[in-house]
Amino acid sequence: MPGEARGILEKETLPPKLRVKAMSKGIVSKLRQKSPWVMHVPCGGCNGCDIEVVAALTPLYDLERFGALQKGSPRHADILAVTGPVTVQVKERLKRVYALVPNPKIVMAIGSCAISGEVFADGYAFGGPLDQTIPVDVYVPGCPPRPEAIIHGVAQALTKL
Amino acid sequence: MNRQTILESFRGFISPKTLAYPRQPSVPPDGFRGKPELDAEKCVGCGACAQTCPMGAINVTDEVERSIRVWYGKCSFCGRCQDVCPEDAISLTSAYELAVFDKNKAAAGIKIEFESCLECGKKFFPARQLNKSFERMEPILKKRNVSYEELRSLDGVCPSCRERPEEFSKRKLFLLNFG
Amino acid sequence: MTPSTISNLAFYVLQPFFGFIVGALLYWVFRKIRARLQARRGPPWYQTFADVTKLLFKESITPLIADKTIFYLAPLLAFTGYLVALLQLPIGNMYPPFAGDLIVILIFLTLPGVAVILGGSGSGSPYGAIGSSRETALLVASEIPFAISALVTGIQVKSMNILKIVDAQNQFGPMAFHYPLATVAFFICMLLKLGRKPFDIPDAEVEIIAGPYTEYSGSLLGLFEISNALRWFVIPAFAVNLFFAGGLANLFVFLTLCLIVVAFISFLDTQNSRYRIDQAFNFLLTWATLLAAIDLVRASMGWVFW
Repeated sequence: MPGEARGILEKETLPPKLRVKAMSKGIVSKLRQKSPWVMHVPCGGCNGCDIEVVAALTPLYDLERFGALQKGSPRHADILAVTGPVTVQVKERLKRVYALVPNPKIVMAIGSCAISGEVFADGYAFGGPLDQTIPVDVYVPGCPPRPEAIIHGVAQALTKL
Repeated sequence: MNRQTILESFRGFISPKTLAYPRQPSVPPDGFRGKPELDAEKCVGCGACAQTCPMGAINVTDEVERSIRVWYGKCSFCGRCQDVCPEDAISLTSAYELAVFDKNKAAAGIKIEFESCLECGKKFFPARQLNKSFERMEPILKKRNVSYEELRSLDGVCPSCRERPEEFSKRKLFLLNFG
Repeated sequence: MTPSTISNLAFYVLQPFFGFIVGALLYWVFRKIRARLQARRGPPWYQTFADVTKLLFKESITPLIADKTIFYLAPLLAFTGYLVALLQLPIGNMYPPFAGDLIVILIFLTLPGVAVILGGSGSGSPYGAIGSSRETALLVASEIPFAISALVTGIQVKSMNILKIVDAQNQFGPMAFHYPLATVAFFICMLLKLGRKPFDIPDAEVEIIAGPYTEYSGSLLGLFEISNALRWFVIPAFAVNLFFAGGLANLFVFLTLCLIVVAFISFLDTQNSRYRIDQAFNFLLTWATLLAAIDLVRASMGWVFW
């Protein structure tokens, strides 16, 4: 084949209608990455990670530069930022909050407590690591993770939107 | 809404205080406890860090080699492993960007070779720990006029082989001479 | 198809797009100035477009206990209110083909408030119900000074046609110099119409999750965001036409005046905290109405000479 002989493979060309659809999907996906609305769900624990998440929204580490707003209702959110070890009481409610978030969505497990329970792993109130309750996309270890580490995690998560 | 807040607002308007974080790296202060890293040259495989870790984030598994693994998902970055290590092999660096898609990838590990038993050839003890302990005993060996090879032939034998009668008598003789 | 019909049609087709784009940029100016006054950098210029696009392509979930008709009707009502008001406003020296009527604009600018009330109570959640009750109280309280201060200009010119009001200001100077109290009352009500502090009680509440907008997601919320972008153009344009027109009737000057109005609103937004609902109700019904009523008396007695 002529393309192979030159070492250049031809790009697969789509018919025009599908090409517009693919290009618009690319534009929509790019714009979706520019406006991630975050909902913060604290699930018990020491609240250290909660303070760091809220600190990421302060003027020093401004998250609104990237279009991220903190929204109160899960129906408005794209990213669900879950902190703290999932206690037995909160487990069912967390599943309901997860079901309320419309697709496409991303779940971030922030802090080592959300990943594995850390200090609380053998406690009576621990309901299991976060990915046994809801599917998780990005894990951010730290105790607590710095706001810059959380911003780094959000940037990694956005490539999946 | 008083004069002070209005002046503060205008001062903030002229010079915003946001850190340019993703474009420029943000360096944490000295003494910041970031992710722990193992130094493969210095570690002797004693497992003291695994014993002292309050979360159980450091795991020691023995197969063909001894592998020591720190899992950041359980680490609380307290620094006890750094305090307790006799060789300063594990230390908390200042790296904090640890976000991963797969939680098993947030880990660091090294492997230590085992020493083979002189009699039966089974692997029973980390080689470097044996060598290090001999190094520490050198002044005493010199004082008591015990040669390195003699001690090595006694200690290079695995615990199950040490229970055999000929080994037992050899050791008793050595201890009588030593004392 | 006479040329005038074609130009009218072009006007009515292009005006909404123009209003949406300029409104989105004015909303961005508001967010940027608010961010800067809080000593941080703000979002980039395309932020509103990114938000609206993202919402339009997201899954839209309707709660089971919501009343479907009212749930779908509310964003459409809000959009219609701002759209019809937009088509009646003169922009600089571009006059709309239909003579814009002041009373019609006032009526259509109450539709979005009604839409918020319907949407909140029709969505079936308790947060929506609380948000709707607050919005009802605020709508009732704010319509009085808003309507009175808008009608003051009409009474002065002796006509309810907004084109005649603009023409009179071109002749005699801005209305703000003759009726400063009505301007202040109109500004206060404008803060409430745009949903900004100190009056953003039903809008972006952290106390009651999201108020009337709690159960909306996806394309319906996107429609609410589009009408939000439209209102950031319609309401400052309305204020500029009523009180600050005059002098050069130019598109560029018009947009600059809208920009100044938006900058002032964002300055007030950063300096104030949120009123309680009864404080806002009292404030609107006593002070704002008093200011507007004084100017109403001055206008109807004919004490202001050009």
